[in-house]
Amino acid sequence: MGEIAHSLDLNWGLIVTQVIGFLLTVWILKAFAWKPLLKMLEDRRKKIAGDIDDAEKIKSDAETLLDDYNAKLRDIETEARSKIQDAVGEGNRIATEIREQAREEARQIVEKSREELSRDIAKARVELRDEVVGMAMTAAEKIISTKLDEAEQKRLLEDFLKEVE
Amino acid sequence: MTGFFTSLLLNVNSSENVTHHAADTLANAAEHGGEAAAQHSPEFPNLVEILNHYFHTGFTQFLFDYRIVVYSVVVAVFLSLLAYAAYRKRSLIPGPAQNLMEWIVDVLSNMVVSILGEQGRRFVPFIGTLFIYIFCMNLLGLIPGMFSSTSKLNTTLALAICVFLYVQFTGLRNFGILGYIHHLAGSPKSVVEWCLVPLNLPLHIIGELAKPVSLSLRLFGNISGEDMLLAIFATLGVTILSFIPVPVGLPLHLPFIFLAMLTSFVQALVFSLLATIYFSLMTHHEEENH
Repeated sequence: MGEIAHSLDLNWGLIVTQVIGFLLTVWILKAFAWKPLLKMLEDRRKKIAGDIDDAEKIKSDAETLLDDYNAKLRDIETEARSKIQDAVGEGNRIATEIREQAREEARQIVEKSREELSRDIAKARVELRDEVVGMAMTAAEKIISTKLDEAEQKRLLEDFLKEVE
Repeated sequence: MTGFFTSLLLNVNSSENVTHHAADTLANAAEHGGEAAAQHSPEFPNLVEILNHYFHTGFTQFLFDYRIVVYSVVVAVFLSLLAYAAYRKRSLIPGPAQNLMEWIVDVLSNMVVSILGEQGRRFVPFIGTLFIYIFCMNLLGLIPGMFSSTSKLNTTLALAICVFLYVQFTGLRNFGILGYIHHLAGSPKSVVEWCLVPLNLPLHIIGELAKPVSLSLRLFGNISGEDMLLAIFATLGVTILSFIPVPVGLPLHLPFIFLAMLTSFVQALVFSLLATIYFSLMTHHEEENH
């Protein structure tokens, strides 16, 4: 077997021809096929990089949007709270006003009734005096018309005083 | 002039005897296969052969006898290194090696999934490796000093047997033992179909056994034919310039290198596509036949 293999004629011409053919093939491939292949791979790489960039961008956009919305929500909440506080303050103010007004009115009513009362008292006093004067006149008339003894006089006075009282 | 045409004719005759060689090679696969092919078919000398020619030792003779294994290992090591280079520095935006490998894997995975459906994704590593490995082995023969292992029936038959065993294993796993036998019997349902089982069962078994034979012969025939064609035309080129005392020839085989690249691609594709179809027959049997 060894002899068979050894006796095989090694054709160097064939080897050299094959090398020439191979080099020519490499040259032709390099000239015509290498660039499109590299371009295709480069396009693929660019596409992947672009897709990743896009995804990152979309993600960051979404995050910004979320932050915006959160901030807006916070603003709205703050605003709502301040509005409620304003309303509460306003309510308190109105309540105080109403209370003050009521107090003032009550005071005025009391004042008025007090004035009316004092006026009535004064009127009554005047009436009483008139009545006393009238009575005194009547008593004097009685005294003059009757016999005036001391005891009678005294009794008459006491009657008069009792009447006055 | 008649000289080269006679030699050319002789060569063509020998290339027509491919199947004859196949039988020879099969018969003497273990020890004589290599030499039988080397003697009869014209092929470019490879490094192992040159080594064996100049430093003839037992070891080089061993390497020469098993050159299909040597060159298969060369391809396997090359692919492993490439895969390692692509794997080592992985990044989201791929570098050149990663980009290339990702692209290849992407294309192959899409091809397999388009035929087998989503559940066929588990066959992608096997079929994808088959394609890349065969394609590289086919192309290796175009590099000076190298040799296409797929131009010998031993390699292609080994690959086809791997496919055959995996396909049968998939069938057994999918259908169970009884279901697998039922599938081999042509999935009989009616009484008439059951009556035809004695006819169908041997036919299906022969059909299954024919698959690796057709797979291996097709690949072997095409690649060895392609390599012979190149060697014949290069020999013709050398013969034309034989009046020059320098060992050099016209590269007449140049146009056929491109043809060979096309054949290499097509044959690798055909082999892996057929393997995919065999898997699909063993996975969607019910839908396909009824």
